[in-house]
Amino acid sequence: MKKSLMLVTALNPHIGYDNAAKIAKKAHAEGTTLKEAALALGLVKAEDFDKWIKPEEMITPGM
Amino acid sequence: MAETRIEKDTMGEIAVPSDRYWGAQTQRSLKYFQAGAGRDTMPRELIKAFGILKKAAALANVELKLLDKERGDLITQVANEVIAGKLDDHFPLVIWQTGSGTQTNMNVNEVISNRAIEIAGGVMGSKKPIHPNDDVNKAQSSNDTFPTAMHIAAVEVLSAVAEAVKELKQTLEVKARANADVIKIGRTHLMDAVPLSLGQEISGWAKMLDNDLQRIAVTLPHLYELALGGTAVGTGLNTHPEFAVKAAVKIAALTNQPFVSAPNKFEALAGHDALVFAHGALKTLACSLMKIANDVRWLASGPRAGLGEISIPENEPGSSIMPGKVNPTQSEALTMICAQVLGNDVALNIGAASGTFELNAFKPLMIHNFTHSAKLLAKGAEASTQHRS
Repeated sequence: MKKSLMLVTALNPHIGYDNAAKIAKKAHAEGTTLKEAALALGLVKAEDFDKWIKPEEMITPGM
Repeated sequence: MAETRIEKDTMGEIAVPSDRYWGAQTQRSLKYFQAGAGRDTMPRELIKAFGILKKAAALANVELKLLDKERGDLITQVANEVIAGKLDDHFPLVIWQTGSGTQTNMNVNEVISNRAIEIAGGVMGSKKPIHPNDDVNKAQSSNDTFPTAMHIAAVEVLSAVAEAVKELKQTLEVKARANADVIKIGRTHLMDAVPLSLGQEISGWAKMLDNDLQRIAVTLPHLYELALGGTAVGTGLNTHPEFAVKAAVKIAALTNQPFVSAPNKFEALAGHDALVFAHGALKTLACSLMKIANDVRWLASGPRAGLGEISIPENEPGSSIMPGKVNPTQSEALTMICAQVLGNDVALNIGAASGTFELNAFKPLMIHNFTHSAKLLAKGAEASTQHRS
């Protein structure tokens, strides 16, 4: 589950759909994790990534 | 294409006609999905329903302080234009596309975005100040908006069916009373049986329609449950905890129908049994109407060598070679409508039975067949009332 690229959806409200798509596409093309792609693109800070992408917090409404 | 502008999505750039509000994803859909082009397009009732739900979502998001008031007002203004049908020429997509209806949800998002940008004096395609995904689609997914629009559209078309059937039922009740003393021979197995009155015979038809009306009403409560707020898989990811209920309350107010937030969003995205059940009521109505229409045309057969017990209107010449011939054309049209509805039911059932895991991906097929059946039955029943003897 943690390898799924669609966890990126949780970034939408923070960086926007288009930026989140860039991260997913880069990770997919280069076979990296979402976090690696996000950091390489400079779109998300490591601590923010860890705070925002938490599968256990993605199963309920929470904005 | 004559004049074009460049639109962008995550796949890259694409040219779009300058006089259309849609964006890149709609344009790609037109390229990749041409089956049914210009014919099997998304029903007008569904597009109107999308306008209602986009407006409700924007209003809810503004109240929850997730969308600023300026953006909310722009989205609301354009959603009103969608509801009023002013932008119908900007929704060209066909039924035979992605099974979630994502391209139609994006068609709506893109049109609202670009029209809002135009009103705000911005550059179409710039996604500023209104972004199709981040603003118009905020706290939404095609997976919850499309089924929400399906239920809003279904309730609207069912009310038109109920109205038309009610009038036909009342017409038959009047005929039944008027012919209460006309005694005739009954027939069972197509063979002579014992007597009854014509009024009694017609009262049976009226009661069939009365039962059909009750069956339609019974299907409504499940259709009042809306998927909105479930987002991608039913969990409500990327929504405010109060969004689903707030948006449903607004949809109820906008439509004057008792819509509520579905108590279980997983069911609302993955199963469309509410539409199966409601179309079941339409299928039953089709069976009733087919029996009634067949009885009418048999009883009116002749005029010299048939049963000839009742007369039906002589509306148009019936034959290109037999002078003076008149045919039971309203019965023929209505029975063909009923046959079509029974066929629509089969396809809709296959669609509903074919959901997988968190999503049913036969949504456009289902609402296409549902609205097709309802609109045919409403007009068919209406014609039977209007063009009677």
